[in-house]
Amino acid sequence: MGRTRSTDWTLDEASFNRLLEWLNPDRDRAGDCYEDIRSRLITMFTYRGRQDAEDLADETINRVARRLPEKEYEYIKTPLPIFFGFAKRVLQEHFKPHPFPTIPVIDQSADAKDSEDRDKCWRECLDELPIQQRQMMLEYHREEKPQMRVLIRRELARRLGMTIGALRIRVSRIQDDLEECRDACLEKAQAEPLMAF
Amino acid sequence: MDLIGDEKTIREYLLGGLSEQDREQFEEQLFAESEFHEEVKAVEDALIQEYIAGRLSLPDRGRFEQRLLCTDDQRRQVTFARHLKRYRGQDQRFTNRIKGLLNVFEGDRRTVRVALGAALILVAAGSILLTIITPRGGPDATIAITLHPGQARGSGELQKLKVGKDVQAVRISLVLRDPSYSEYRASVSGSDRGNVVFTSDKLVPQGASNPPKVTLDLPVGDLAGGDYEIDLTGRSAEGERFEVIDSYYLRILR
Repeated sequence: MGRTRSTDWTLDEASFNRLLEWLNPDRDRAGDCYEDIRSRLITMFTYRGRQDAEDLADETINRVARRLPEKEYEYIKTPLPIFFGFAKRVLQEHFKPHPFPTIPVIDQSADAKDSEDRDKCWRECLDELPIQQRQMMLEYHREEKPQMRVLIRRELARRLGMTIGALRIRVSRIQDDLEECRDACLEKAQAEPLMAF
Repeated sequence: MDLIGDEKTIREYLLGGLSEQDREQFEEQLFAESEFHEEVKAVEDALIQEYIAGRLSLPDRGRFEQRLLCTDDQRRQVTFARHLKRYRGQDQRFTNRIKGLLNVFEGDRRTVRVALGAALILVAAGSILLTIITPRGGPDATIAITLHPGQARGSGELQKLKVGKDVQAVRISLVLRDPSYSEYRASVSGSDRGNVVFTSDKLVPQGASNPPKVTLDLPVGDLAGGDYEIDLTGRSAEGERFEVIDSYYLRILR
């Protein structure tokens, strides 16, 4: 039987559990660790201009998970360099000569898309957020110099009893919820143009 | 606090200015160190703020658009930052409007107006309590000062403000020499000028104040004792860019 191509391999439940166990025997911590690693991979691929950053991150994780039954991985206690090594390989294999657009992509959301409705929906959704979540969001994104931002975020994470990486993921989820709320609000506004606002 | 990484290098990485070899080394550190990863994220967020505020130079703006606006998620982050900024601005304008309205009622003793004033105070206090004070987890002790333009450092006229331990925020009113701009931005920097500790956008003159002023609330956590310069820029009704208008100086005593 020939060797399975790494891209054909999929992460099943048993492999995923083995991966989590390898990351940390404590299941909750392992989950945080997994999300943190995935987030770092996405960050790195995104900074390389890759539109498919999430797919590449998942492929990297799959490749590591696929190799875990091998004896040598049993003794590795610091998984980050392993993921980094695989990420580089994935990037090489999916090489694109010019990942960044040659013509600048202008963000046009401030013009056509950022209608009054959109503004109102954002405001409404931010107002509707539970107060702790809104506070967390505003504090995390406080407009400061980078050093101050880092300090504020560290302090916020400490107050909430979580790591700074977990805080970033939490804030990102609140942002996802806000975007869902905004989409629902916009749909409603379009469905009932006379009633809305 | 210093960053683990050099901010300039992080900016260069994000804007695509590092060589291939430096970039790889940088990414290895980015991947391996949680704190460094957070620093890079913080620098990226600061760049997004500079971009949406129109504070990036033309070449950096181009590099930003090419490097940090090329994926859907990056565009999503910029859009989100823009709306969050507007949300903060609206919050600030609401507070300013209420203060302006309260000034109208100041000194008027007729019953109806007093009653209206009281009702407004209740509404304002309720709203402010809900939107501002409660999320911060406790009452704010704020002290206020009014600054006039052109009272330069070293002129002997430098205004001083003693900030006690219980003070949470300093409310600074800046007297405007030119109130014709549609909105103002104040940027507070330490004595070396390069060290911006606080900025406040979308400031609008208070309706009833004479002379006209804009007001910003500065969290005391951002202020050490020392001299500060506040640079005021304004955007004209038709203008896209901010113009430098005046500078104000203040000495904080802790």
